[in-house]
Formats: sequence, C-alpha cells, structure tokens
Amino acid sequence: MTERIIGIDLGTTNSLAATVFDQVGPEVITEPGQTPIIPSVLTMREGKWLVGQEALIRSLQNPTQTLYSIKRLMGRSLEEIPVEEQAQLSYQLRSGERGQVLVCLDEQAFTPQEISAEILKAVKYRAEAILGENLQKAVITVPAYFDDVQRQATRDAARLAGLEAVRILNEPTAAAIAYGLDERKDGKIAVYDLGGGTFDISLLQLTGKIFKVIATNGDTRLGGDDFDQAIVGELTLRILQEFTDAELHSPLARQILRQTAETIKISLSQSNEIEYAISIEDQSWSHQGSFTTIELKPLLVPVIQRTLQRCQQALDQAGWKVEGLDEVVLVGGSTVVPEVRRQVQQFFGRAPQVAIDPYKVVALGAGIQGHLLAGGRRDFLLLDVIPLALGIETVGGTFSKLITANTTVPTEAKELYTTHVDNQTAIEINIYQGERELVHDCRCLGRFKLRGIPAMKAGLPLVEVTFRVDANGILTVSALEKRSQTDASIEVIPFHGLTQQEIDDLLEASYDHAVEDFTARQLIEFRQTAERVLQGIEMHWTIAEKALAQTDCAAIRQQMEVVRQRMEGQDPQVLKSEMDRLGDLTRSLADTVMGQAVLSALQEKEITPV
Amino acid sequence: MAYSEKVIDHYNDPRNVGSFTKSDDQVGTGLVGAPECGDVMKLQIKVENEKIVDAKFKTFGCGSAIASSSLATEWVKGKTLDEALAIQNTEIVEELSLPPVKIHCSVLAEDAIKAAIQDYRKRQETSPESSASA
Amino acid sequence: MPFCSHCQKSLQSALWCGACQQLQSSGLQADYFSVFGLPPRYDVDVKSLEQIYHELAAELHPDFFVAAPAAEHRLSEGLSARLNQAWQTLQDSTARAQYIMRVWKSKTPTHERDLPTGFLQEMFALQEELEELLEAKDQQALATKHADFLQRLNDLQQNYQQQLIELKGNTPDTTSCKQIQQQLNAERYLLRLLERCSSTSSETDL
Repeated sequence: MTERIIGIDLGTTNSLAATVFDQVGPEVITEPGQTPIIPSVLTMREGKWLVGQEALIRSLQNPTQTLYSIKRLMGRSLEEIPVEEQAQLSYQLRSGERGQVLVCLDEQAFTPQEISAEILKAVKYRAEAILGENLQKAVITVPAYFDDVQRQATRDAARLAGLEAVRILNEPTAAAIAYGLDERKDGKIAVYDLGGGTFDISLLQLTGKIFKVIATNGDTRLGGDDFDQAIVGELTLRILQEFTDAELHSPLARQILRQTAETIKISLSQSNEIEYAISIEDQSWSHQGSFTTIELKPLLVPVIQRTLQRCQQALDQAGWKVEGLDEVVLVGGSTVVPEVRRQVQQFFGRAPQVAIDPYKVVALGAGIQGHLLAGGRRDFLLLDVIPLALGIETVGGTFSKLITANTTVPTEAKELYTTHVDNQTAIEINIYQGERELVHDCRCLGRFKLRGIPAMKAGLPLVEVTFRVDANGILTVSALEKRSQTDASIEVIPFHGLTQQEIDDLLEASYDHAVEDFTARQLIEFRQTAERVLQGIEMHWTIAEKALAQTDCAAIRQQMEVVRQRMEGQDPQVLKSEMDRLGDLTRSLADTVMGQAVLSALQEKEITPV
Repeated sequence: MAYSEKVIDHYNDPRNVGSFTKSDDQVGTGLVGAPECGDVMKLQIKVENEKIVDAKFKTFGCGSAIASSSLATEWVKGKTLDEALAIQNTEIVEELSLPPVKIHCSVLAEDAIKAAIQDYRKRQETSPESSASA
Repeated sequence: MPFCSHCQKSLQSALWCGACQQLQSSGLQADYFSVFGLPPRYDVDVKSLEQIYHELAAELHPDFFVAAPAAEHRLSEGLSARLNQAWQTLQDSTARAQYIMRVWKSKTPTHERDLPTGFLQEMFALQEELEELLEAKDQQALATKHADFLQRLNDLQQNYQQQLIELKGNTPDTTSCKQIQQQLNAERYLLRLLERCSSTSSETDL
C-alpha cells in the first residue's frame, strides 16, 4: 500500500483519529488502555499551546484563556454569530479585516483555522507517535451541512497543521461507511448525527458496494452545547432566586455553570436524579440543589424538536417515508442522552442502531475512507451530495441556483457570460450558497473577478464560466473566452475564509515554532529505531542464548523491557539513553559471536543525535 | 455586487402594473411566455399618432421577469412604434445586470413589446376607420 | 459507438474503455445516452441504467485516482461529473424527455417556444384567478385548483411519454416533434401553477 491516510474526526468537543491496521481492520489510534479522545480545548502557557486534557484541567484556573467549541466559529464572520452566543463564550471574539471572526487570547488574535490547526497537530503528533510513522495525509470529517466556506476553512486548518486533507468527508456519511461495511446489507438508512455543536441528518441508499447519499439536511449551529445552555439558563434562574445579587456573567462564573450543566446532563443519562453544588471562588454565596430527569426533559425537548424538523425536511427532499427506512443509526456524543434516543425512536418508529460507539464511529469511517483513498481497497464507493444549493446573485438580490442541493458530487454547471460595454475586459460574479430565495439569506462565498477577456465589441465575447464542485463539496471556478480560446484569470476574494497569501504567511510563521514539532518527530524517530533493534534481538535470541552467559542474557532481557517502557513515554532523550545502554550490553554479542545479520540489524540504524 | 438603486427599485416597486381595456382600439396587447421557467407576461401599449403614450404590464414570474417588464414599459413610453421595435433585449440585460441564467427574462420583455406592437397594428388593419386621426 | 483512444477497441461507454481501463477524455462532451452506451431512445429501464451507473462510478470516481497524475485525477473528476449529470437527467422521466428532444434538435425543426393554441391565454387567466384566491386566502379553492392542475399535469405527461415510447428511438417527424415539444413546453407552465399553489400554502404553515 502507498502512504497511509488516517481519518480524523475534528469535533466541536472532542477530536480523535482512526486508521485501518493490517490484519486488525479499522481501529481508533490510541495507546493501550488510554482514551483515543483529545478534548477540542486549548490554552496557552508561556507562549506555547496546550491542547486537550491538560487544557481542560486548567480551564477553571483561567477561563478567559481557555478556548473551546471553535468549530462553531469556522468560516464565520463575527456578525453572523448571534450576540447571545457570543455572550455564552468565556473567551473574547473580535472582527478581522474582512469581517471574519478572530479569537482573542493573551492579547493575541487567532483565526479559528489556526486554532483548529493546533487541535489537528495534537491529533497528528499523537498518531505519529503511536504508529511510529510520519503522517502527511488525512481524511478530515465535517458536518454534512457545512458550506463551502466552512469546508475550505477546515482544509486550510489542515494545511496549517502540516496535513494534506485528501478528503473533506461528511460526518454522517463516515458513520454510514463504518456501519455499512460492518453489516453489508442493502437498504435505506438514516444517520442521525447530533454532536456537541452541530446536527446532521443524512439519508443513504446502500446498493452492493455503492453508498449513495440521497439527501442531507442539518443545522451547523445546533448540538449538545445547546442542551448545556438550556441547563445553564435553569441554573441561573435558581441561583438568582436565592441570591439576587449573584454575579453570573464573569468568565469564571460562565465556565463553572457550563461545566456543572454538562455534568448534570451526563449524570442524568445514567440516573434519574443528581445533586449538585455551585460556588464561585470570589463570591460569598454557594448554591446547591438537585436535578431530575423530569425537570431536564422540557429543557431538552425544544432542541430535539428542531433536529426532528430537519429529519422531516430531509425525508421530503428524498421523497422517502419513515416507514420505508431499513435502519436508523445514531452518531455523535449527544445521542447518548436518553431523551434524544426516545424522541428519535418515536419519530422514526424503530429502535435506533447504536452497535458502534457513537464517539468513535465517525473517525472509524474516516479511517476506512482514508484506506480506500490510499489505494488499500476498492470494495466500496461513496457517492455524496452537495448539502446546499450554489448560485449567483441576480437583480433585486434574488438568488439564482446553478446547482441544487443534494446533487451528487463531483458535478459542474456552465454559464455563458458576455460583456455589456465595448472593450470590457473584466466581469464580476458574486457566488452564494444556501436554500433561501434572497442572497441576503444565503452565504456569500466570495467575489469572483474574471480578468483578461480580450477587448471586443460589447456582447461579442463568449465567456464560458464553469462552476465545479469536487468530491469534497468544494467549489472552484474557471473561465474560458470561447472566441479566442483564452483562459480568463480568476481572482477570488473570499468573504470569510483565508486568502492564499494569509495561508502562506501563517505557514511561514509556523516555522518559528518548529522546535516542538522537532521534539515530537525525534521521539517518533527513536521509537521506530528501538522497535527495529528489539525485533533484531528477538529474531536472533536462540543464538544469543547459546553464545552468552546466562547473566548477560538476563541483563539484556531486562534492559529490553526498560526500553519498551521508555518507548511509551514522551521524552526522546530518556529513550535514547536507555537505547544506548542496550547497545552497550549487546555490543559484545554483535561483535564477537553473532553473524552479520544481527550486526547489520543493529548497525543499520544507529541512533545519532539528529 | 451592489445593484444600482434604480434596478432594485424596478424589482421592489415595479412601475406601470395593471391593464388597459383590451377592446380599446388604441391599445395593443402582447402576451408572451418563457417555457424555460413558465413565466407569463402581458404588456400593453396605448398609442396615439404612432407614438406610445402609455404602457402597462402584468407579469407572473420571477423578480427578473418583473423588473424586465417594468423597465420595458418605462422605456417604450414616449417612443414611436418603430423606435420601440428597435429595443433589444441586450439593453435590458445591461441595464438590469442580468446574469446568463436570467437572460430569457429580457428576451421575454423584448418579445412582449414586439407582440404588443404587432397586435396594435393588426387592429388598425382590421378597423382602420376607428383609429381616426386623433 | 466510438472507439477507445488508447486501444482502438469499440467502447461500451463513451467515458471509459472496459478493455484497457483507460479514461476517455472525449467523454467530457459525450451525450448522456452514449455515456451509458445506449442509443438515444426514450424507453429506458431505469433499474439497469442504475446498475450501469454504479459500475461506471466505481471505475471513474476520483477516489480511485488519488495517486494518479494530476491531469488524470482531473479527468476522472470531469468524467464523474458527466456521469452524475447523465444519470440525474436520464433517470427522471421529464428531464429525459426534454433531453432526448434536444438530442434530436439537430435533425428536426425546433419548436422551442411553441404552445398549443390558446394555451398561453389560458395560463394567464389561471394565474390571475390564482392571484385572487391567494389574496383571499381561500385554502379550499386553492386545494381544488391544485388537484385540478395535478390531474392535468399527469395526463399531459402520460400522453407525451406514450408518444415518445412509440417512437422506439426513431427520430420523430415534424408533426409529432412539434406535438411533443408543445406538451413539454406546456408542462413548465403547469408546474409553475402548481408551485404557486403549494408554495403559498406552506408559507402560511410557518
């Protein structure tokens, strides 16, 4: 097989990676006995990023400096994020040059792409360390309802993390792959995917090796976070009833309320009642109370109802009836909430399928798709769709669709443009994506300026503009003047994303931080070498037993064990010194007794300070 | 892209919506349709001395079709029949910055003008005495 | 059927050579019927069409050309787009009718804007009627209209589909070509009426 392509589930709350292992099949990438999940939480310490569990633990110490739910900001402008939602965040946002949202941290400002890149780096480095391979390519999942801007932002984040996103894969589709390949049954399946911050419903038809998405619908701003917020609202009411002057808007208070709400939600998934206590360090009051599933239900139902409306829309789009479905699959951390399962079961009239861990299933599917893209298999093919129509602005701000929602990708549409003025050499086109009648209600993907049209009389040039959507659901635009057969050049001005120059600048800047990357890479390098050396010794152990004294053999065995332990650690220098000791112990063995094979196995890759 | 105020106005507040009595001999009626989208457009002109003195329209269709017919009625007013016949759909496209997908709307408006004039002239042929020398 | 640009064998599909597995760049302009290796005729078995669609997709999809040179990857993307569009068009009975008339366009006189006599006047009158009902929010009358239009649409569709099937792939003569095209044109106006009935009723739901 060619170079490995891993699958990464870049989630609102949690991120993780999976791949297909020889003999074993698809598995999440993790150290034995450890969780594969890296919380999508970040903070900075002494100018360096801390990602995951470490950042999560520190979140109460410095709430304004802890970043979470970044995925909700991807490819957005500040004005698109409702004020209430901004107020819920414990960190600060501001607006960038073109209106794109920036996240403030330590008097610096970062784009969501840069921050997501740090999460991706954490996932990548951990996977590299575990697999002992350098990883450069990945399938990265996104909500199916992500538009072009959000997909591009995700791809840019990957680039900034030193990864090529070979495929931007829809999360529910990824889950369908994991399930479908598991069961290999033809039929109609619905994937209900409720994550931390996003909701998707996808309807797929499985026919032999073809997985065809028929319709997809969703809401990129609807998820488990909304459950938490509803609970926070209830807690706020209770506290204010008891202590009218309680100050609940400070970043610390918000962080504590949010985490309490999350704990309540999770606990009530297992029991019917939970006691909680809330106090905030610099305030005199403390509040305690209890929460029951009966009290929880009315807080959850409105959010769940919104998801079910989307399900109905998707069914209508597909021309399907609930009764015609063969399977309903639950995906995403928020589907462990019992009320969600109950309502989903009621809506679809059947018990949902939860055989694969809803936390892992998306990453597993992505890992399988990565295996296919790397040329490792051809036993299935995914035919996905574009979630939202693409089109252009017409008179009066109306939206003219060129490619409708749920069109199978890749696809393309061509339009012939001409000029209105003599010797006009440029045409401007504004491209939008959405499902509404007016461009005002759709997202502007950017302004496309066609230049280099040969000077002719008005109306003579025939500029054929091709709008191409690739298998990632990402749009590219090209143009050709047909009379002269000249390519018109296209300048794209993204409205919310990063320009090519900005990406280049960020990549440039990231070389300054190359040190931490270097440590991680050195560790990988040393682990690979250690693995080879250990294998070399094992392979020739029978010879060693004959040639060496029993005590020497025991010493080598013991040192091998030490090396194995150090391989699990994170410090390359410690591993190296133990490897050196093992080298010393086996030197006589290599030198005097053993044949060339061992010698070469040991010398092939001497550890030298890089 | 910022459309000019004038264009948006034709969309939000179309001029000359309504109709004249069809039987009036001074009136020419053009009824046309666009099979591309099923839009129907009725455009009427009132003529005195070979000059269009008033125009009205009624269009069931998209915003571009409505704006195109609104613009067409504004343009034909005050023109002679021959001048009105010279109006090209490309002028409407340019004035309203219509994109390729909506060019048929301008074609519809041009066709409607031509049909209305043709209808008026036919009426004059069949009842020449009634046109009189107003 | 054309021949493979690579091994010169005759092609099953205009997009891809089954004999030597080569992508056919000429397929980017292929007509939708030859994409599936079919002659242009209206009566298509959608089930077997889907099977060919799946088989071709499994050969052409860019997912299988990740490691290929960039130009080949792009070609697979373009051919897949062509295949998807061809399937989308031919599996739908109305889109297929419109498409086959376009294929025949080069051989027969066109009637692109032709309608049955008096049809346009009737449509305009119906639109005006509908406008009044919509303003009066007369849901019951609207529902009746909707049912009427739907019935009329179904009759129309069945009629032209029957005519197209009877052609058995032969190019229609001037008369039947005109008849079919008129009905296809009329269909759009009926669809527009239906859309107007239902769009406003769903708006009032919200």
